Amino acid sequence: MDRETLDAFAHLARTFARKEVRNMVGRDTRDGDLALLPSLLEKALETGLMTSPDPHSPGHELGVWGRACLTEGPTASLVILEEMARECAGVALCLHAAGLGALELDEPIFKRPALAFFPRNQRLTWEFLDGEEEVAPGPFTVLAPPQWDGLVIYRPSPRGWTAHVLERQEVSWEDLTPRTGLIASGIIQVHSENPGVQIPGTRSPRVLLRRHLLGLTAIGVGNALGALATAEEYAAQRYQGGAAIDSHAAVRLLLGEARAWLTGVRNQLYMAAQEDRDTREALERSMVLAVKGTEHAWRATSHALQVLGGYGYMEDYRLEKRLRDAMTLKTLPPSARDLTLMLGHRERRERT
Amino acid sequence: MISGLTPREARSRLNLMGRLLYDARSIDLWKRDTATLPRVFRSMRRRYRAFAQREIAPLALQADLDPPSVDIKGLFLKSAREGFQTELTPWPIGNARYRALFHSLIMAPALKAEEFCAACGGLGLALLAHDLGMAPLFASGDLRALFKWMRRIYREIRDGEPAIAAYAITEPNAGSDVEETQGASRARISCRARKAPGGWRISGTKVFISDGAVAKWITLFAALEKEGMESWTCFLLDKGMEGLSVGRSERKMGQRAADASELILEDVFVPHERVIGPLRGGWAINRNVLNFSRPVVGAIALGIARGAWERALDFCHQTRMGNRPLISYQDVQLELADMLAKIQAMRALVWQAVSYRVPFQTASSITKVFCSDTAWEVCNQAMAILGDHGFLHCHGVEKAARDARLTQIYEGTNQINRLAIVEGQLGAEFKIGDFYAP
Repeated sequence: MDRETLDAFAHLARTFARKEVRNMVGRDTRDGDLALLPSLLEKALETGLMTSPDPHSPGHELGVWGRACLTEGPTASLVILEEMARECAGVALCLHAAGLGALELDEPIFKRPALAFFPRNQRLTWEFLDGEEEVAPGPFTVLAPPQWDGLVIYRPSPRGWTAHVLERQEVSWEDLTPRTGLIASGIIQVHSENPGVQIPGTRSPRVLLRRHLLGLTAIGVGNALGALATAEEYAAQRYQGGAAIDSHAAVRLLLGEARAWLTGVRNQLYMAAQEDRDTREALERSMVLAVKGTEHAWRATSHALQVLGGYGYMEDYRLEKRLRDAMTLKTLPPSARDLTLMLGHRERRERT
Repeated sequence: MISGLTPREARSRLNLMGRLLYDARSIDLWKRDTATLPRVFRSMRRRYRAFAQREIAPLALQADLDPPSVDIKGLFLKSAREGFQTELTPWPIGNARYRALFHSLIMAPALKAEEFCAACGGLGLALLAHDLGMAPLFASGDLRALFKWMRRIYREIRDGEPAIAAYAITEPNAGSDVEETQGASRARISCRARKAPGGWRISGTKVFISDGAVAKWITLFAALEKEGMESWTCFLLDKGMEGLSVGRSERKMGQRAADASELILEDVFVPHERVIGPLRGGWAINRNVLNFSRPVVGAIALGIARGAWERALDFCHQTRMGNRPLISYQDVQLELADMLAKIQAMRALVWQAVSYRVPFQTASSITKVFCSDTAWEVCNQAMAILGDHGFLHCHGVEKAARDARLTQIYEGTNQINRLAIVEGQLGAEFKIGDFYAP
């Protein structure tokens, strides 16, 4: 995808985020006015930023994790997610979840599917990823777009992974709330004894996992960049000790360190996204990013909050929300520890 | 197979002397650490923990979700009945034990802070902020303040009145400035006291005042008219004073059970007898109160981290992952061990800091900085151990992380405290000629 097209995407996403998402988040409640979320997502769908399995939907190809991400690479999706997360990481995660759910469906069986891939009682390993491990009985943790209407579940079989679909009413599920952050998005626990209906053309879990990890990193970076922008603005205006606080080395160090982390992660992210083939190396790079990228994004967000001192800890400047979102993002599956163990499993990596 | 012996089995092969020198008993660290304390503190630590587990822990999650639903004053009175809210000074004013004060002036508040905050950082702060509010009466060295005001407030509490005290220094345009020498010299102070017949009239605003909304008594610092921070004077106000009102209560990320409110002063008349310490003595009192309180903040952070660790450990015992208990995974054990090592280091630092005869700036700030930074790390490690349960409120671990984050900010941000560490040792380790130059 050429630079001009990507810039156009970024512009579209930024305009939408500043107009619609900022309006939702800016309301006088802890996590924004969530009643506005359904209409906001509907607009994202109409604008083509959000993906749907429906081939006639504007975002089917070029929305977040639209079909184009399989041929053109993930960059466009990451640009959208980053721009959205600059205003609200929760809304960005909604688009991410909707896109991953839709990616598996070649037929528009559901309007807004969710993807179930992470069993709650099982660790992510190379063996699991290769379909060599039984899926432990028990629930899945699922990132679900609001008003999700169906579920795509991945199951291992002797011939590799297969995907199965279930209607929403066929599964029991519960919202994982109250929780730290990402309140706008759906993080649910799903339990189903029903195996569901197998659908053809299962994509490799590696394809999905790579996009998931890159997406989480992009959201983390966007969220932290939004926090940093607020902190920089505050630091230029706020006086302490007779001078603007950004003249103090203590504040500059916080801002500078945050910027250094984010620039590094962001560069790595878009370099990793250039790889348009889903190779093992590309997956490993996305794992490295998810481990270190979300952590650096979390640290940068925390630094931004520190610049505001007591005001950062209060709800007024929304930095506490950003930090809560970053904390939650860091603990979404797969865990950084599982990914680190996989990265350290050299023999296995060589075998695969 | 010697390689398979547990430490206890291995010990059993030694002779009596060898066995006496090899302690392989299954005793948890809390008990072992308690046993190292002077006798007077051992019983206090046990009592604090029992109270925290009985009265604070059951309220913790609810207090975080819906702070107004918890009766803070009721909890304060329960704590007061145990004698925990009147123990800054000994008889005839308070009920601190002479033996305890002989060992350390702030060991008791530090032990209390760890235990209370292990159960809940927010409720712990709500109870501990009272000691902070009372501290200027004690740290001023003003006998009149002690025998007239402190005794009166403690008597009210013993009589069953929730006479909570709050400490008011932070102003909308002077947060870090009121915690540091160089900032103070150029601070924009808004809270000012103007001389009036029989006393002083104070106007201005204070913000982020812990227990500001529920307190009856407030130790408040104000600059004298047309003077700078060097003129800061400490006044004792009470909520019945005309012109004193509570503004908005802040909505915070964590420690939500503890109120943090704005206090608005509109020409509030304060009689001379309510001046604590000398006129223009407020800056010194403030700095010294921070010397006393920062190790306690370190203990708050320690408690919060320990609470998160204990909950994470429980979770690892109870949860199975891939048909094995989570605790049986080596990487999980490594993480838990790393956290426990940090917690133990925090406690060692807190106990060492409170062992100085009189707390002082460098040790107090080192304790506050190290413990708060470490608690934030430990709580986030605990969240990570819980995996996709980590962000769930019901486990209390994410709450601990949110609670811990505030300890890096209050009682001076950790950046200000780092500067205080250097300033405190200027005459010794750091000899910087123009340190105070503008």
